[in-house]
Amino acid sequence: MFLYALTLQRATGVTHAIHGNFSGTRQQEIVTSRGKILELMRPDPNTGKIHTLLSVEIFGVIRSLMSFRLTGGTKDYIVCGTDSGRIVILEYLPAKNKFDKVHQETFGKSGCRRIVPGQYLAVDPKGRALMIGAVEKQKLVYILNRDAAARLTISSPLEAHKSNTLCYHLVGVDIGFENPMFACLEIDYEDADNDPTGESSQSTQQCLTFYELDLGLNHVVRKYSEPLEEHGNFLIAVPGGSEGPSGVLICSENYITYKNFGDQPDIRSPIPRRRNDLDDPERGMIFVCSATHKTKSMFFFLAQTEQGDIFKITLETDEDMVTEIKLKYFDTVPVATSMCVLKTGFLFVASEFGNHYLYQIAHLGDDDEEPEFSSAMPLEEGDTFLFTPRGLKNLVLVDEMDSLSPIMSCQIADLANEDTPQLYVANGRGPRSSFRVLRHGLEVSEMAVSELPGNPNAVWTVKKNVDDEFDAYIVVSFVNATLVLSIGETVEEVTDSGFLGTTPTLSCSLIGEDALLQIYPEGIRHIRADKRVNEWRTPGKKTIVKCAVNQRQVVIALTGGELVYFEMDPTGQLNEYTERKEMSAEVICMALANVPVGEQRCRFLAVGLADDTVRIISLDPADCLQPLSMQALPATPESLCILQMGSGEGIDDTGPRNTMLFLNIGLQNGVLLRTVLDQVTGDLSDTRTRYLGSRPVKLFQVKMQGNEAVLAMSSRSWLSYTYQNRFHLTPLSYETLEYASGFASEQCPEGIVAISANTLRILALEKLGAVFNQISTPLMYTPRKFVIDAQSNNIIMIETDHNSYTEATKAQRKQQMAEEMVEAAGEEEKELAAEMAAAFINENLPEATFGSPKAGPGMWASVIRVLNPIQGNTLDLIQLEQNEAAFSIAICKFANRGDDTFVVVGTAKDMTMNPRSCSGGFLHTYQLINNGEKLELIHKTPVEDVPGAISAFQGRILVGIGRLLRIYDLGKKKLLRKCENKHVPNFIMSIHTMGHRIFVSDVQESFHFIRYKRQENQLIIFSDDTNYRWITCSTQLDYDTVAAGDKFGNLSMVRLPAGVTDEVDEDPTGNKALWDRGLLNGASQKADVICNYHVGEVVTSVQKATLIPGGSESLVYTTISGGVGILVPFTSHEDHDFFQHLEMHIRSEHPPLCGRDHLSFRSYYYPVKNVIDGDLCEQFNSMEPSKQKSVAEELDRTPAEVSKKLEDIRTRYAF
Amino acid sequence: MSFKREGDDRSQLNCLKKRRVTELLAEDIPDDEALLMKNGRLACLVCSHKPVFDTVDMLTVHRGGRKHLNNQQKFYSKKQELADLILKRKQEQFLSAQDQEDPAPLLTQTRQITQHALLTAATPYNPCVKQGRKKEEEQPKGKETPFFQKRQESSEERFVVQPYKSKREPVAPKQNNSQTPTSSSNSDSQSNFQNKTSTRNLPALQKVTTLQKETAKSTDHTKSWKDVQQQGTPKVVLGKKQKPVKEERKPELSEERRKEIAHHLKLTSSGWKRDRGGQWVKDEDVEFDSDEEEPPPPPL
Repeated sequence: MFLYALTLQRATGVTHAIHGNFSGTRQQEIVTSRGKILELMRPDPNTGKIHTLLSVEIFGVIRSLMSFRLTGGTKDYIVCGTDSGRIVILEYLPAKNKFDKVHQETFGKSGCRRIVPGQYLAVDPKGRALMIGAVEKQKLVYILNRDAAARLTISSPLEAHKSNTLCYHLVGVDIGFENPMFACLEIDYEDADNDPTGESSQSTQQCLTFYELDLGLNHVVRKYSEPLEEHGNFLIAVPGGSEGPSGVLICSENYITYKNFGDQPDIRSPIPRRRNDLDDPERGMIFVCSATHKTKSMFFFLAQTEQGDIFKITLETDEDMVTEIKLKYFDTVPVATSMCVLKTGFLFVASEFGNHYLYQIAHLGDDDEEPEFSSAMPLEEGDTFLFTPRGLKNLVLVDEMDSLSPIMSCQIADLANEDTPQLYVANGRGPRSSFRVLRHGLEVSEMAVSELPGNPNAVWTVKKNVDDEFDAYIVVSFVNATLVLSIGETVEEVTDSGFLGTTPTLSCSLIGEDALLQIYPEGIRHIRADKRVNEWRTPGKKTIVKCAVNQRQVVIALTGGELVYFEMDPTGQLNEYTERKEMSAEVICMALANVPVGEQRCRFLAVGLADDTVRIISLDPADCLQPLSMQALPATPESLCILQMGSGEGIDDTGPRNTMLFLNIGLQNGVLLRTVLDQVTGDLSDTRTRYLGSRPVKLFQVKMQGNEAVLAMSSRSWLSYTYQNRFHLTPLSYETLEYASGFASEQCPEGIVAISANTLRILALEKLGAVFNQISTPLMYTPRKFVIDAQSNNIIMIETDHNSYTEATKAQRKQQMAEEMVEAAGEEEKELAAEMAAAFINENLPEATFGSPKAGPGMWASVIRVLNPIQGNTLDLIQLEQNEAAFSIAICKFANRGDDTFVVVGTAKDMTMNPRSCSGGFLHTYQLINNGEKLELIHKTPVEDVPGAISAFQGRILVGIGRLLRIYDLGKKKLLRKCENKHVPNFIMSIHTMGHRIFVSDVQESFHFIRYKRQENQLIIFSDDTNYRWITCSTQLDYDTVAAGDKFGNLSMVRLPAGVTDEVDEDPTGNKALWDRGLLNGASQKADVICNYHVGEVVTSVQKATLIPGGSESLVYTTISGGVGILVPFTSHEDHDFFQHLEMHIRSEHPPLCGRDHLSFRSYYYPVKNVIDGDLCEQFNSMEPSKQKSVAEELDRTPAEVSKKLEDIRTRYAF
Repeated sequence: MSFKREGDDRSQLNCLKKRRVTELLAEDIPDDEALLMKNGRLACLVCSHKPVFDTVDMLTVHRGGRKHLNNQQKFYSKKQELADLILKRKQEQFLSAQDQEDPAPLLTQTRQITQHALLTAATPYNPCVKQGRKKEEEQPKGKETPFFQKRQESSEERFVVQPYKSKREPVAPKQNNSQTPTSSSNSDSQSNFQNKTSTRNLPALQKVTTLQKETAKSTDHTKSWKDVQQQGTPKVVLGKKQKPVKEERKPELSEERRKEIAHHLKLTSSGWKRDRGGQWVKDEDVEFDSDEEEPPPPPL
C-alpha cells in the first residue's frame, strides 16, 4: 500500500509570536510559529481584522523565534532556532510574498537535544549580537553587522559554554551602546550530582548570570553571577541606555524582583492575588508571559499570570536608580503563550488553548480607580496584595482567530443530512472547551435579506461613475419588469434612474466613465450622465437573446445566432460595428474580459454555442469578429466568464503581477471548466475540470480582496479565487442561490448581492483561505471522547478535568468562604460582611475568560452530556461526583436486552497521575431513552482499576480495565464479568473489534491481536507487533490491518501477514511454549509494519472516511495542535512513481526553509515507509519558475502538468 | 556507471581517470571469457592454459593474438555444441510430452519454475509456530510425492487422537457434524467446501484459499477418519487441534442442529462449563446474576 499525505488544515495553536516591521514599511506585522509552520500575519489598522499573508511549513520543529533589527535599520529580520542544529535568519520579501533565507549557520546535530543550542534565543536590543542557547551547557553568540552593500552579515560563533549548567531563560539586556550583555537564569548541578546524600541538591540555588560580549576582544565572558532566593521562571529585560534604567525583572513564584549591576538594591514586589479566590491557597502564582511597550518618553510591561490576569508594571526611577515597582491590574484575557503589543496600539494574544485574540488598547489604565500596588507598600512576609477581577475595561476585542487546538477527539459523519459529511470535533481545554461542527466551505455572513414582489430572474449592481467606490443602484429583473433600487442609508426604489422598468433586463452596467447601459430584449438603452438617452432597437422581428458587456464594449446576440458588436469611442458614443457575425449554431452564452488597464478594448470575446463548443472571437480592429480558436466541450455550456487571475500579492499591489487570462466555462451538467486563454494568440489550453453540483453552472464575476474572482452557482455555490499565491475553489456554506453580482457599500465593501426564490440577499465573505467553517458550542470541562447514537443522531460526550472542582463542590466552597468572611469580620461589620458574602456567592465570573479555580492534584470534575450536534443544545447533563473522572464511553446493545440502547461510561475514583493509580473505578450503565435524549442510570459496577477503553462486542461489551481485558454482560444489579485476559503488558488504550477478532492497543507496546473463542470462553492473544508504539488513537482498516497514531507524532499502519492464523489455543496441559507465555517478547506470530510517517504533531484521532460525496475513502487524522490531514492511497503505479520522483527532486532542489533535512524529519522516530509527503510536493507551486521548469523536465512534463497532477490528487479525495 | 569528481588533488584525480578508462575498455570483454581474481589480476578463460595478466590492457593485447584467436574458435564451437544439445533435449521432451495429456500445461510450467527458483534460493528459517496441517502446506508445490512416507500415518495418528466430546454421537461420519465448530469432523462432499464458509469466522480471502488447498488433503483424511470412527477408538485430547478442518462446515446443518450449536455456544460463552458427568456447572472465575442457578433452557 502506498499513501500520499496531505494537510487539509494547518495547525492553529500558536507556540511563539513576535512582532515587528518585517516588510520594511511602517506596518506592523506578527510572525507566529505553530510548531512546524511559520506564519506572517498583518492586522489591518483600519478594520482591525488580521489577515494571514504567508504560511510556510518548514518541516522541522521551531524551538525559539525572535525578531531583530540592525542598528539604524528599518526592517526586522526573523531568527529561528529549530531542531536542525542550525541557526537561520530569514527576511520577508513582500514583493514575492515569501521568506528568504539570509543566513544559515550550522553548529550542531539535528534533533531536539539537551546540549545542542536552539531552545533559547536572545537578541541584543540594539541589534548587534544574538545568543542562542541550549537547555544545558552550550551557548553561542553571533555578531551581526552589515557589509558595504548593506547586506546582513553574521560572524563565526563565539562560545559561552559552561558544563553542568542548566539554563532556564535567556534575555538580552539593554545597556545602550556598551558591550552587549545577556542575562541568563542558570543552575549549576555539579555539586548536587556528586553528593550522594541529596543534601546539596536541596540547597542548590538558581543563579542570575550575566554574559558580556566584548566587541573589542571578540569573546564572551561570564561577567557576573548571583544566586537567587526564589526560583525564577523567566526574565524581562528593562529598557536601558538613555531610555531607562536597564537591568532585568525576574519573575518567580509569587514575587517579581528587579535587579541590576552596581549599587542598585534589589526591589521586590509580591504578585497580587485575586480576592476571594476559590483556588487552593497554598498554590503559588507565577507570571507566564510578558510584553514590553516602549516609547521615547516612557515604557511599561504587561505581564500575565497563569490565571490570565494582566498587570501593567512600571518602574519608578530616581536618577538612574529604580526605587519602586508598581503593579496595576489591567484586564483579564485567556492565558497566552505569547503577547505582542504593536506600535499601532493593538495587543495580540496568542492563547495557549483555543481561539486567539486581537485587542485594541483603548486606555492605558492610568486614570481609573483601580488600586496600584507598589513594592514600597509595607507588607508582612508571606502576605500579598489582593485585587478584584472584572470585565474588560482597557482592552476592546477587535478580532478573534479561530483555533481548534487541542483537538481531543473527532468523528466524521453526515448527521445533518447534507451530502457532504461534517467533522465533529471536540476540542479545547478546561472551561474554554467547545464542541465544533466543521463543514467544508467558506463562511458566509448574511448582511441583509429582503423580500421582493415576485420571483426575480437576475440582479446587477451599477455604479454611477467609474471612480465611485460604492455602488449606486441594485437593478433586479423580473419576468416582465425591472426594479431599480438605490443604495444609500436605506434601500429604496427609484424611478428616475433612466432605466426602463416595464421590460425584463438582460444586462445592466456602467459603461465608459459615467454612462449607464441597459440591454433588454428589444434593444439597448444608453443613458448618458446628463440623462440623455440613446436607444438602439433590434431590426425586424429579432430580439436580443444574450449579451456580453464590459467597460467599453458591448456584444449582443440576436435570435438566429447573429452577433452585433458595439464599441465606445473616446467621446462616449456607442458605435455599432458595420459587419455582423453569423454563428453556426444558437448562442447560449457570451463573455468579455474586463478592459485591461491602459488599453482601449478587450481583445477576446468568448461565445458558447448550442453545438457544445466555445469559440474565441477577436475584437481587434484589424481582424474584428474573426474566429481565433475553438474548444469542444463534453456538454452544452451554460455560462462563461473571462478573468485575469494570477499570483499577485493580494492586498497591496506593489510588485509586477504575474497574471493570466482564464476562461471559466460552466456546463449544464454541473461541471466547471477552467482554461488558460493565451493573451497573444487567443489559444485555449490546460483545462482543469471540477464537478460542482447537479444544476447547470452559472458564473458571475465578483471582487475579493482586490482581486477578480468567480462565483459559480450550481446546486451549491462555489467561489474561485486567488489567495496566498494559490488558486482556491471553495464551496460556500449557504443555501442555493440563483443569480449574483458583486456589491460594494460602506458597510460591506466587498460583498455579494444575490437572489434566491423571492428574496434579495446581501452577503459578505470574510474568512477567505479557511478550509472549514465552524459552528461551536461551549462545554464545561475538557472533552475526552464522544459517541454518536445512530438512531437519533445525538452525541453523548464525556468531559473530564483534572485539578478542578465540580459545580456542587464550588458552591459548597463558596458557601464556606462566605461563612468564614462573616465570622472573621468584627462585631460592627457583621452586616457589611454579610452583604459582601451574599454578593460573593452571587457573583459568577465567566470561566471561559477568568479560568476555573484550581483544586489541587487528585481532584477531578467530570460530566456526561447528551448533545444535539446540529442545534448545539444540551439535552441531558449528568454531573459526576467530585474526584470521579470519566475516561471511556461506548454505546452498545446487549443481546439479552434486545433493542434497548445502552451507554456504558468507565470512571475512576481518586486517580493520581504519574504513576497512574486510583482507589477504584466504576462502570456506569445508562439506558438511552426518550428517543436518544435522556440517560437513565441502570446500575454502577465497581472495578479495580481505571477503565480505559470500552467497546461493544457480539451482544456484550469488552472493557479494558487497566491492563486487563474483560468481557462483561448485562446483569440485573451490575455488569457480570464473563471472561478475562491478563496478558496485555501495560494499559489498554483502545479496543476495536471485527467478527471474532479484537484489536487492542496498549499505551506503550503497540497492538495486540486477540481472538475470542466461544467454545472455551477464552480471549487469546495470537499476534502482536514487534515495535514499541505509544499509541494515542487507532482505527481498523480491514480484517488484518490497523492504523495508529502515537504520542510522538507518528502514523503507522500494521498488518497481519497472510500466513497468520487466529486459531490458536491455550495449552490445557500446561506445556506452553515459552513465547506464548509472554516471557520472550509476546505472541508467537508477529505483524508487519507497512507504513510509517512522522506527522510532526501528536495525533489524537484517526479514522477512515469519505470527505466528498462521490469521492473515495481516505484516512483522516487530527492532531493536538488543531491540524487536520489525510492519507490517500495511490491507485496506480505510475502515479506513485511520479510523486516519488517529484518528492525526491523537491527534496534536493527546494530544501526546507530552516535547514532541516526533509527525509530525516519524516523519519524522526521510525524510517518513513511507503508514504509520500504531499505538503512537500505542493511546495512545487511556490518554487521559482526556473526551478519548476528544471524539476518538471526531469519528470518529462511541463510545470503546468505537474501542478495539475497535484491539484487532481487533492480534489479526488478532499479539498 | 563511472563517477567523475572535480578537485585539485591531481594524483588522486589521475588514478581515478585511469580507473575510468580501464572500466570503459573492460566493457568489450564478455563475462564468461575473463575472470577477475581476488588479487586484482585477470585470467583469460578462453585459452585452456588460462594465462594471467596484470591489467585490462594486457588482456586486450592478448585477445588480439593468434593463439588466443584459435582457442576462441574452439571455445565458441564448444558453446555452440552445448546449445545444440539443449535444443535437442527440449525437442525430445516436447515430443514425449505431446503424447501425454497435460490438463494444465501452464500449471506444470509454473511448478517447474518455482521448483527451480526454490532450489537456487534456500527457504529462510521461519521460527513462527505453524499449526499442524499448515506445515504440510508450506512444502514446495513441485514435490508430487511426500518426502517422508510417514507423513500420511502421522496425520492419521493425529486424527486418531481426538478431543473427547461426550456428546459426540458415534454414528456414520456422514452425519457426524460436531456441535462445536472446533472439532475436527469432515464432510465427504468436497465440492461444498469451497462455497460454505464458517458461521463463526468471517469470510476471509486467505481462509477460502486455504479451504481450497485443504480439500485435496481432507478427502484422504476423511477416509481415515471414517475407518477410525468405525473402529470406535477412544479419543484423547492432544494439544493442537485440526485447524484447517475447523473451517469446513457441513452444508446440511439442519435448523435444530444449528439452534443446538448456538445454544451450546451461548452457554459456554456465558461462563457455563461441562463437568465430568456432562452437567452444566458455573465456572468459578465468571460472575453470574444472583438469581441465576440453572443455565437457561434451550429454545424450543
